[in-house]
Amino acid sequence: MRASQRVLSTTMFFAVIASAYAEATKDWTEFRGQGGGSKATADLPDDWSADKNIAWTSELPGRGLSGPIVVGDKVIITASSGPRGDRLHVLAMDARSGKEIWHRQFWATGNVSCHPKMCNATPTPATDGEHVVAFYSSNDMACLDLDGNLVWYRGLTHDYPLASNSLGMSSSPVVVGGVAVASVENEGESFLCGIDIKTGKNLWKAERPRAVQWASPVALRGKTSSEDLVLTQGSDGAVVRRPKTGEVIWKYDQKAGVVASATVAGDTVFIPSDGLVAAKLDYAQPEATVLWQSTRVRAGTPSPIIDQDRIYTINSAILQCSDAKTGEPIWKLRLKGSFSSTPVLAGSRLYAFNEDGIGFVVDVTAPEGKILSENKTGSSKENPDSGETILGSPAIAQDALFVRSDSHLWKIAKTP
Amino acid sequence: MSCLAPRVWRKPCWLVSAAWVMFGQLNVTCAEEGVALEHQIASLLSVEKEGKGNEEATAAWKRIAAVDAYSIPKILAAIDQAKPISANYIRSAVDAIAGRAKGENSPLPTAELETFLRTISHSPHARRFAYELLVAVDPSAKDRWVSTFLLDPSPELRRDSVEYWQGLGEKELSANGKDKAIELFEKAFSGAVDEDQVTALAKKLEDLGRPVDVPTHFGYIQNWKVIGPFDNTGEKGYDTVYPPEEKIELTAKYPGKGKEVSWVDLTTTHQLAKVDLQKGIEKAKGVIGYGYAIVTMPEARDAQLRISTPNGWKIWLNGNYIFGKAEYHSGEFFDQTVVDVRLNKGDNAVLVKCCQNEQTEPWTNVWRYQVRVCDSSGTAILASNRPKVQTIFEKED
Repeated sequence: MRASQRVLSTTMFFAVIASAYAEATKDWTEFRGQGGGSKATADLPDDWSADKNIAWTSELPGRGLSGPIVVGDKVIITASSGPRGDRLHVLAMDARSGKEIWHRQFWATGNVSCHPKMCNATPTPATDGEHVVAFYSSNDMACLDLDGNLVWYRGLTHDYPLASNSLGMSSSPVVVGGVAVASVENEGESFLCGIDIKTGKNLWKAERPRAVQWASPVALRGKTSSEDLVLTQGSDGAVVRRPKTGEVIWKYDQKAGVVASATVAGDTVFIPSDGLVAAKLDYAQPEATVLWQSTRVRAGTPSPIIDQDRIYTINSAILQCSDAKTGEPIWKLRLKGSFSSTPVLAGSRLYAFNEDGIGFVVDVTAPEGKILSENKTGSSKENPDSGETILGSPAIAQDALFVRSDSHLWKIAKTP
Repeated sequence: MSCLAPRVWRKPCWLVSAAWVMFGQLNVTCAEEGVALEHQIASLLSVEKEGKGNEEATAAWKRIAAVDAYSIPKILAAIDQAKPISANYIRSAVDAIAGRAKGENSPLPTAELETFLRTISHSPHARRFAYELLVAVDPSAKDRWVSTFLLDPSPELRRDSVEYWQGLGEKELSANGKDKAIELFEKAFSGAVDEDQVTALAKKLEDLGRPVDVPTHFGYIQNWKVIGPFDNTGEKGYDTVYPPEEKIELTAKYPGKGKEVSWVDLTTTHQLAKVDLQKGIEKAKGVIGYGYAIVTMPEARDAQLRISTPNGWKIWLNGNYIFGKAEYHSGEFFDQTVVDVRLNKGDNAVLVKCCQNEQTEPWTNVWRYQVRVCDSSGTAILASNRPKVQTIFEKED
């Protein structure tokens, strides 16, 4: 059996055991959506403007690099405000109308200093369909139910005072197997932890190298909650753990990147490193088997997307399509501007937002990739060239794209 | 009045209680409910580190979040004695109560909120929250209150007031020239504690021919004794105990990195009192320097030390280690780290260890720190031994 065939057969096996929750839900549950794939099946518009395909616009109470998540009929989003950025917000909005359903605020209990481009609301919240975990750069973590009732509150820097990064923390948590998994890796007290979603108490806390790390864990959901796993990434590599215990069952122990996050597709994990590494996720062999490594495939700040044996990466405004089986570049397409947010994919369309708020819609099935439209998000009829800074990654749900700036959340859809 | 009864009959409860009070009756039911509310609040106040007490707090939170908006001032008052995590349980419960009242078009107890706001002894966070609740339902409250917050213990309330007085200054400047405007700008400056407001007002006043002393306004320590370099090759010096950590002898000499070292005077004239060890000691990498200063207080008091540095650091007060971070070149921000301390009456010895590593990127060519002494609002606490420092300050590099 050729290597590619083996990859395909194992991919099918993993597809079968995909989480029941993932199969059942069309929710966008965490940073980059279910399992960190950054993609969903949806019928989205090819363009939008102030008076076209914007279903609603809602004002936000503060800044945020965090992306929205969507659970049921609610869009959940975090923000931070105040001259010190120490006011923490988490809001639920009606996905149909954009109307605020509930809004909770907290006072940061950890370090609030960060790079001016970042802010306290940088990590994207996460949900298991019952709970919402809102996490912030200050390492404050609030767990609420979907009605906005506080389930518990933790201040991880309050608990562990050396755990902070003066540039800001960005790693987004996941809720997997009944556990909120958070990466708090920094030059002080550096750790990963698994927190019981019901009680807010540590199930485990794993010491990590004292080095900064901004990438996010990836939820690997099994058929049942007990089969759920989580992939975590740091400067010393990537590992797969059991979320309830933190036990490591697989590891890639070579250098890994600390900004863009790894992406899992089938039984292969694609790890930003010096370029990109594709490694086989075979838990019968606890040490990673590297399938290929390429310095010609580079993810900048946005994380890679894998779809149908294609890898999509953005680095320095270049969108690159590469072969997922070999790492060979297939085509490159020049976009414009700087990109902090990870793009999303719906069918043949890739939606990438640069920091100036321009949303590029790209047909990735065109032979060399084709830009279908450039959409200034946040423009007005009176001032069509205006726009708002967009740093957070969008969400896809209910045939709509949910995108946030520092002051607004938009629902972009063909129909309201 | 605190009612933990189901909301369907909660409003009748306070109406009935009012009637009972009119007739001199004791409202036993609501008194019991008040006790129950206090019991629930106690659960929120009992939350400890690492989630201890979470389960009890979760149950209590739901009961508190279900009470009538008239209980908000009493619940807010609990923040006075709350640790930071408990304060967030309480705050978010009030969010839920106020949000529900808004959705139901129910009134908030505005008179009680104004009383709460007026009571300076309440937590600054809680008073700011009370103010926001008040203004949300009564926008005219802002006009009544904002001018009064200039020296408020809450930095957020101050900020609004500084903006108000600065705005008056701008109007005066446009309408009538600078004389009265300077007074208004100086008034605004007197209350400012945020870096952006302070620096903007300082520039405004300087442009109008009335320069101000920003380091003194912030309470930065400007006069130091410094010593170094000691070795920090491989960042190993961070945990190495060099002589200044054991005993301060200002006349002593020690073996340093490549040479004998001794204490020297260093007075910073930087506009934000950055203590540049590249000037005070030498330009070097893989080194450690110490700064030592005496802060004399007329009375013992609570205070904060606010430290900013792009280098690894540790700080001691009166020989006791307070805090530190082995973090290198991850930015340098205003009030980067805030630590609560107790200052003694008389002399207080502040010792800073500032560690430079061996990174070679251009942005790593900085070896410096700032320390200021202030209260929890950010208002300077000035030492009685604070010497006059020249008032022509160096601008930022």
